[in-house]
Amino acid sequence: MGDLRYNELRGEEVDYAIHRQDRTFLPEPEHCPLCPTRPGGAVTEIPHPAFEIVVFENRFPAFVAPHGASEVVVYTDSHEGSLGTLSAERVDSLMWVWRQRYQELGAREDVRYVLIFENRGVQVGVTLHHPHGQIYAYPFVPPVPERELQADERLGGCAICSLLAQELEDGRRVVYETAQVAVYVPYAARWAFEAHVVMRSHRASLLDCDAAELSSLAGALGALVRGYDALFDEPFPYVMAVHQAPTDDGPPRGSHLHVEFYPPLRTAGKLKYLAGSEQGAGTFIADTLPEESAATLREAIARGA
Amino acid sequence: MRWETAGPPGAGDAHTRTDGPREEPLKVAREEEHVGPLSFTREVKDDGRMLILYRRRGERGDG
Repeated sequence: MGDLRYNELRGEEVDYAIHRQDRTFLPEPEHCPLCPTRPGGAVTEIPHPAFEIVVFENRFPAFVAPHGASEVVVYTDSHEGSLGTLSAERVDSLMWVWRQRYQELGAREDVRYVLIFENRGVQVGVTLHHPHGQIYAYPFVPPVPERELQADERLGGCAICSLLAQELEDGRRVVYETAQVAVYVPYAARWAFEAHVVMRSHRASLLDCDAAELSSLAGALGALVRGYDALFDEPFPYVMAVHQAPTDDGPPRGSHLHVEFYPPLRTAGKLKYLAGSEQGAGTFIADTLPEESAATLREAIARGA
Repeated sequence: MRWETAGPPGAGDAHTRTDGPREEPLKVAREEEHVGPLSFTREVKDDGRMLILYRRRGERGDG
């Protein structure tokens, strides 16, 4: 069940989960495995006729104990919807579910990093349309969060705190704010409509957030997704990743809770592809300026409110 | 945590499958746990995978 191989040339792990080749692929709504099991209907992954939020172990895991975990988080028993259309209370509940899973998975000896994420849209490889996210619990700290920790060291303190202060001072790329959360298109965004949802106070993880902060985070996520959907008047594809502190045994190494969105669209109907420079050299070539994208996104968030 | 088996197939509980008898009935942890405004219960699916049902206290399956 999965096999890690270390790619010496890249200095990174590659996970071979070849059983995933056979996972359910874009079923018709009546065969959705994430819908509830209706009386007299087909049995789904969730053997209940109704539910609020459900988490279960992925049938096609990329990581499995004692070398991590793979879980599915189903946001609602309705087949339609998104973070932007769920009730504010439901998204708030989701924050507590994320918090509970981060705490429980992170406490395991075989888990060094818990990544909560969502893939939305066929453009980013979604295989099930039912509103849901996933959790991968890695037996190592993956390269992206590791680079964020290195940025902390390079900047001599929390990189996110420093970048947040710069963004708030500049203001041109900020698209949404509350007392607890700020959302901005980062200064050096890779994707045209990349956005970071950042806790204003330094919080290493969801465990450090109080109820008001979690509610504010939920509100910001909903507002951003509604804004995304308003951009081109259609469901907006993205990859969403929740970055938190590693859960390894080492000393605390910084980390600042934030949620990153990587949308592949650079304009309506046009995808940004990772091609020669991005894949061959690791350097993103961007087609838009973050300040211009932020202005467009800010207006869309206002329209979507 | 205390685990119990749900009723046998056809017993009419919420965990009864509709595609025929299963080899092992679902195991359900009867104790409710809590996190923030949520209650949650754990189950073990037929194939041994874990499933957790979360419910906001005071709310019932509004989808």
